[in-house]
Amino acid sequence: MHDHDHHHDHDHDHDHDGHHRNPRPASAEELRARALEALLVEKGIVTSDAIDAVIDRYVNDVGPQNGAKVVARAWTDPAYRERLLADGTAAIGELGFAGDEGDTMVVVENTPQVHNVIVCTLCSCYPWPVLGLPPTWYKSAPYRARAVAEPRAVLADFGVELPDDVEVRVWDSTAEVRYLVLPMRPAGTDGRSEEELAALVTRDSMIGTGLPLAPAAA
Amino acid sequence: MDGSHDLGGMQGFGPATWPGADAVMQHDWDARAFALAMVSAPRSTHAFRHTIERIGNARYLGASYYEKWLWEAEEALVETGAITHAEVDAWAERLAAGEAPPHAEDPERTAELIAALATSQPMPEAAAPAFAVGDRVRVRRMRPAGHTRCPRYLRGATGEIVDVRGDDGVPDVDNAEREAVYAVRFRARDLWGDDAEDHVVLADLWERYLEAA
Repeated sequence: MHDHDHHHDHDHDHDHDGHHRNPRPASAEELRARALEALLVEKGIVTSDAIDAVIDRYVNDVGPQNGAKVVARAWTDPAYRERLLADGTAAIGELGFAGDEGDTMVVVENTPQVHNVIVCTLCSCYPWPVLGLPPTWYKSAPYRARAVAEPRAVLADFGVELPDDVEVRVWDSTAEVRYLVLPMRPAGTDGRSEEELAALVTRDSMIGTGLPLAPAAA
Repeated sequence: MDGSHDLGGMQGFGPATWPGADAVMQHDWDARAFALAMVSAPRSTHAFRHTIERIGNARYLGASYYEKWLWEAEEALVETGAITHAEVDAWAERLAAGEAPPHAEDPERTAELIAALATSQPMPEAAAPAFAVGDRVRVRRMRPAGHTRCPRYLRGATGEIVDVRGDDGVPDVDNAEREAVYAVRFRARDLWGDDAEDHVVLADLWERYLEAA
């Protein structure tokens, strides 16, 4: 079946890629995907290494660990926080994160008075350079339908309850702006390093459906 | 078009998350379908989204996310004349019979593709915005047959401009025109009635979707 011996000019393995491990198609969709790829390679429309490289970038390289670094920097560097809120694209670019589905970034800050939540009711727009590809729930009908109409009920599904006096702001990604929530720094984290802080920043806390982790008791 | 992709406010779907819903990929082939659509895309992002919107209302809600991407990747290339469905059928039969798929590499083109995917092209500042921060605007009533990024649940509602995001290609005409995009703030109770939660909804809307209120 697939040529396992072709040269990979990148370092990651391909455990994520069932194509290499399962020579027999598992489903009609998998067979269709492999047939379409074969046809497009045959016609010279795509090359095999381009497919592998795109998977590599979005499955292995880009993910919420990027956004966590942005948040931890903002928590420890007030000047960076200012730049991040003033021009998200440029400040995120300072840390080397940029690209498709993050061309124009707006960072929205949670405070004791304001909690931000991100959604895309029309498709599944999501800030790829800082969060990677979206989780299943973010792309699914319940979240997309309900987040704009009843965000507190949605947050309850995620186990998040906010004080009544907090204003909930739901950002519907209807155009090409992509959003990142800057969550509040957890209490009890004074003196923690940027790296230690980044470990407390969850993906959901940067979407608004979660809160950062509490620091482990010393 | 007002299809089942335009989900804001719909009821009856159940919990927003469930065990397993944190996963990014649901099937082994999802990453491959994603990459195929990304690499082969013959048209704009607007056209990409509109193709998915045309998958059919029932299928849109029933299909997994990357099933829609896979369908889009094939459909877009069929519509542009690059391939036919029959050619994909033929390769499916050959693969099912055990034939090895072809393999090709082009490291230079691949490096360019990845570099482009890793480069941001921020929206330029709006050249001649008709509205300013603080203006009250009403979202126009409309029922466009083609692609739009003006969700149904906002049409007819009044809100306030909170930012001029910049100029961007208009989705409804597939980038043939550019105009200002605004962040507009709506009170939830202006959208959903007095029984609703008392939150705020913000959306980024092209100028043609708005009129002075």
